Amino acid sequence: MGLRRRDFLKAAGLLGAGAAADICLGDLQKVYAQVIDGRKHLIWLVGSGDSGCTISWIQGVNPDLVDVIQQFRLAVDFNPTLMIPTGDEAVKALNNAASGTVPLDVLVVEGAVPKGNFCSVGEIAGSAVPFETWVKKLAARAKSVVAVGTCASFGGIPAAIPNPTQCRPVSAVVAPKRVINVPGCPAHPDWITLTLANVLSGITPALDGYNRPTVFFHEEVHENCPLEENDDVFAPSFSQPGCLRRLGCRGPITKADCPTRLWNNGTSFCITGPWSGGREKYPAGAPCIGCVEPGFPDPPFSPFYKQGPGDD
Amino acid sequence: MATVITKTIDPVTRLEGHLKVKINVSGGAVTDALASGLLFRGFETILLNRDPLDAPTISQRICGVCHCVHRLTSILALENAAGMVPTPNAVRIRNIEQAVTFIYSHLAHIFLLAGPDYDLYGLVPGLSEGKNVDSYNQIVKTVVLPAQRLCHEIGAIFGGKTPHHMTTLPGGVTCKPTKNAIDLALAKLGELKALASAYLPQVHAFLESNRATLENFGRGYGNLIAFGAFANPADPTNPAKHLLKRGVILNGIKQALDVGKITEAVRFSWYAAGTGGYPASEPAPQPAYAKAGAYSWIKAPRYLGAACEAGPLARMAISGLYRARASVYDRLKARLLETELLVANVEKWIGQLVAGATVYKAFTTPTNASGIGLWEAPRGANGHWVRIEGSRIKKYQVIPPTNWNASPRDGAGLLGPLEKALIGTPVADPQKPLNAMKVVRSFDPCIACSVH
Repeated sequence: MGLRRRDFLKAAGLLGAGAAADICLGDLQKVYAQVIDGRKHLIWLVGSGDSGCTISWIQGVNPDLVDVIQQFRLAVDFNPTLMIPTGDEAVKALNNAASGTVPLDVLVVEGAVPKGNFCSVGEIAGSAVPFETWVKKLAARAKSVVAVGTCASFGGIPAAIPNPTQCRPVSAVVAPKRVINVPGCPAHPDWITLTLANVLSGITPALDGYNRPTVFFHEEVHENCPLEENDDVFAPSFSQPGCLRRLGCRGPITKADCPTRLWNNGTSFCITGPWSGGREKYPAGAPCIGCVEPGFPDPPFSPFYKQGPGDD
Repeated sequence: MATVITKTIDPVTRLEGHLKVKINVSGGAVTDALASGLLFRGFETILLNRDPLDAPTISQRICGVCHCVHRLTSILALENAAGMVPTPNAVRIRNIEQAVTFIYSHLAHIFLLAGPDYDLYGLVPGLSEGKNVDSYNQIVKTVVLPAQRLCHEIGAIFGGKTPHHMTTLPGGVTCKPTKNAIDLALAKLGELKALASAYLPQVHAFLESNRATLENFGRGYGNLIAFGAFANPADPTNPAKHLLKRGVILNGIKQALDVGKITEAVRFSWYAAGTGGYPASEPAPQPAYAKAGAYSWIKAPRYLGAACEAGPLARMAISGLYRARASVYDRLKARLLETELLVANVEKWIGQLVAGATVYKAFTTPTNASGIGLWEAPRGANGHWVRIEGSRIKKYQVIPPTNWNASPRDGAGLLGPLEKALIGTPVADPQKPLNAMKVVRSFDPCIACSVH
């Protein structure tokens, strides 16, 4: 069952705009060629987060979630939101991977890692198992570890000042094991799926200084923002035309490909809908808040509706 | 006397977040139940001393499933504090954003979260036992994901992106609708309606043919609470004019809601004694995991001391659109009927948008003021309480729907609504308490919301 090879490659080609697709297409082809041989095992843990990245991931298109599972022959052994088994049977999947009984190709972690019993998943012999314990045990077994979302990548909102539950990014908990960070609040489904395609094929994508795949996070949002066409025109108030910097837009200090990739099947991104012929088809008008960056949501990313650092 | 078997289900999957349920089973039925929320983040502490205008964006991230309701409820609290009323066009856009989130969330519950327990309403035999997953995947691919995606795309037209749209803010919304936006939204809604009308009748048919069974368990107290949602664009701060009404039903009697009668208990929650109370004045949470007798990060909100249930059933019953009776059947049925009601209304609101009309009025944060935002999440009544002093957040309190539904016992020992609803549930095999899972999931619990 599933797409024919040609359809899949066509679907993969549609994924993402411009350079991202070119760079990743080869990897997707390699994955596809490999996975005919056997299943890949994935565990998706959710810690101190809001499941927004799970919801974002399942909105992906070309390929959609079912294509991803079928074409990559993914066995998603654990995802608390989507899995059919519950309770003991769900914990068994975690134990099987932790003990090495079932291989673990990729550990995906959504959510930051708080201290002790601020977050627990399942019981062993009547005692709650802290989320941190699972992250450590499973990361030790996993061939790759991917942190999805800003909480898992950098701590994010639960780690914001004063960090009441002592949340840490996954990388701080599993060091020295390398973690690939796919931040965003939420992460874009293409960022997640393309990164998984890379690691499933045994390839480490080029990473930036924060271990983010460079391909998605290499240019400031402001550089590619259509509103930058009106560089000298600043919106005087919300819902008015012009650059949103004076209303708090963090596009100049935030690296992500939102303006070219767009969200929700090419519908829009926070700042504006798609443009054609120098005009926007419909507006959005919300300033970028820097949700993919370490340090979000504390200063300099907030106060969100006051002008950020730097010149106009 | 029959033996008592204790069974712990942790994690309860196919819901948002970290829920543990512990039941005692005796004589083929549940005799006691404990519900525990197992993630605490401390949003009410994180928000302190920040610019009040940052509260909507940060509190929005309490939940990524009902990903725009905390944002709006927080905005309503700030607008309440400032005494400002948004423009009709802004209210319509907010209603549309909320409605597509409710519809997507209800569809996710009906098909992805609860659906497998019912073999997808007869569409996939054996699914509840983990069989025929390929044919389930096919329905997920061709119906469930496209329907959810359409909701999110409509949300992104007016919201920039979903989850976590960013265009609503105190004072209105940032996006002035254009004819392009309205036409595109209506086209996508047309596709959504086609998918819904092809599959929702099957769910209705299943519920009717299994009604006798499903209305006989999961009944609970039957006390219902709703804060109301979907404002009238001409009079948005008047809850009597909302599409879905505000009120409570206690012991079968409907009455007006007095927000001053809501309290939170922490006797069985992992917080320091004495930190509950009235949401407008209770202190920020003080975690105390070692506290004797406590078993949950969820607090226990009560209305006049009563444990009330929130959700589509409460909203529909309090609005006079459904009978005031609780069971697994009634929760599923009311959610389904509300989905259809909202699909019809979102079409109306999109049609009423005025291209180019004002959507934002300058908002001035008051230096010292208090505000309350009362709204609904897909899972039920959602409240935010804010106190602003010296233009900073002095106090912030959130009571979301699963806070009510999955609450633990209170100071008087009264069980939470979900716990109470589990009592009496028929369970043939305590190791596989499928009916108990049906009861739990009928509330569509969201633990990230409930603890926050």
